[in-house]
Amino acid sequence: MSATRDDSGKAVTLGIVNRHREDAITTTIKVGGSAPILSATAHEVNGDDPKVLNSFDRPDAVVVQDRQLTASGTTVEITLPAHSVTVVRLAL
Amino acid sequence: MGTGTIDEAQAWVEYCNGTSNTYWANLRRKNGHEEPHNVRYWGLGNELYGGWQLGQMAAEDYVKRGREYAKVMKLTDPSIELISCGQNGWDDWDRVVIDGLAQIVDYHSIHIYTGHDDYYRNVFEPHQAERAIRVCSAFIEQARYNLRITRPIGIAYDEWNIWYRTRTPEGRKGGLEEQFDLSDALAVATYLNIFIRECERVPIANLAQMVNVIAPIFTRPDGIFLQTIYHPLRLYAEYAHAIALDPPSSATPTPCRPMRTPGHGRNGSRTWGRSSCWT
Repeated sequence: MSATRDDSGKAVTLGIVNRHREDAITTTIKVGGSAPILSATAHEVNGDDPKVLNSFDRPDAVVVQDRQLTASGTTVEITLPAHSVTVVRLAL
Repeated sequence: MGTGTIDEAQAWVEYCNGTSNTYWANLRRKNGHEEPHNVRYWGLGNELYGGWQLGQMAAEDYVKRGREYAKVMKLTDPSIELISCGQNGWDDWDRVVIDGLAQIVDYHSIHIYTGHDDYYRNVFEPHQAERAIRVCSAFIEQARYNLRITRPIGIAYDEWNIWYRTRTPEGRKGGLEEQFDLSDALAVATYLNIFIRECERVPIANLAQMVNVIAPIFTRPDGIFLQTIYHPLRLYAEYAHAIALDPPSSATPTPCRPMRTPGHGRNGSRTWGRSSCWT
């Protein structure tokens, strides 16, 4: 896992890898301070199976899927599927 | 440095960055580039510890030669920054080279590729990078202390990736192209997380190739496709910010057995080191 922010402190990005091959993980991200999370976007890299490849025949076997998360005050809950990379962008 | 000469090293710096009325700067102008290219970072040789290199040498010999190359390059353009040729960060080679060249270089390089058919080994092996960075950083700090060097010396992790399928002559029979699966994308994201966490020690980290061979983009004359590892690279390049945070986590570490992971011996043979891992 990694976390970065911009100079203003209003934009935070998390990079999270769930390396469990079978199980999803549901977790809660909490930001410090009192500024609420205004929006939370997840960009998820995943595919059917850890061994799946992209190729000329099947260039979209592994792609990025974007989704909005529902934040509640300074927290946001997220489910990270098995064998996935998720980049989460928070606007404070 | 393996096959070149000290004169060539001087010529390259003068050709790229020279602003005076000199032979090599004038040749650049004649070739259509009036303004200097201002190439800032220069690596002193590549993997010279390795049996696969022409001009393989012992660390002590590399230090002696490297010091002279560095001297003439810096005389030609004092603004350039030099990178000493490191191995895997924790080898004797690294210690000897850092002690010998710390006074004249700005960075020390590390090259480690990881990868394995076994899923869990593949996704956890990048943690070797974190160990390499910490050990190498300790060598650097010790040299800075002993030599009373006040300026920082960083790590240039200038070759990394997942690479194991096409590393052997047998594996290369089908071509040089490494085709990455989803587990490799997870390993790449793990590397990127490590580089962010260790950013104070690692100001430079880069892949050797962006297109083809061991790269996120695969091409042939009639088209391209994006490999699995392209996606985490693109997301982090686009969305990671300039300031790294160190957030506490209440997650339970995933238990995992100590594992044996590959490195490279000085003579090019495979060596094995022990490591444990955490999430």
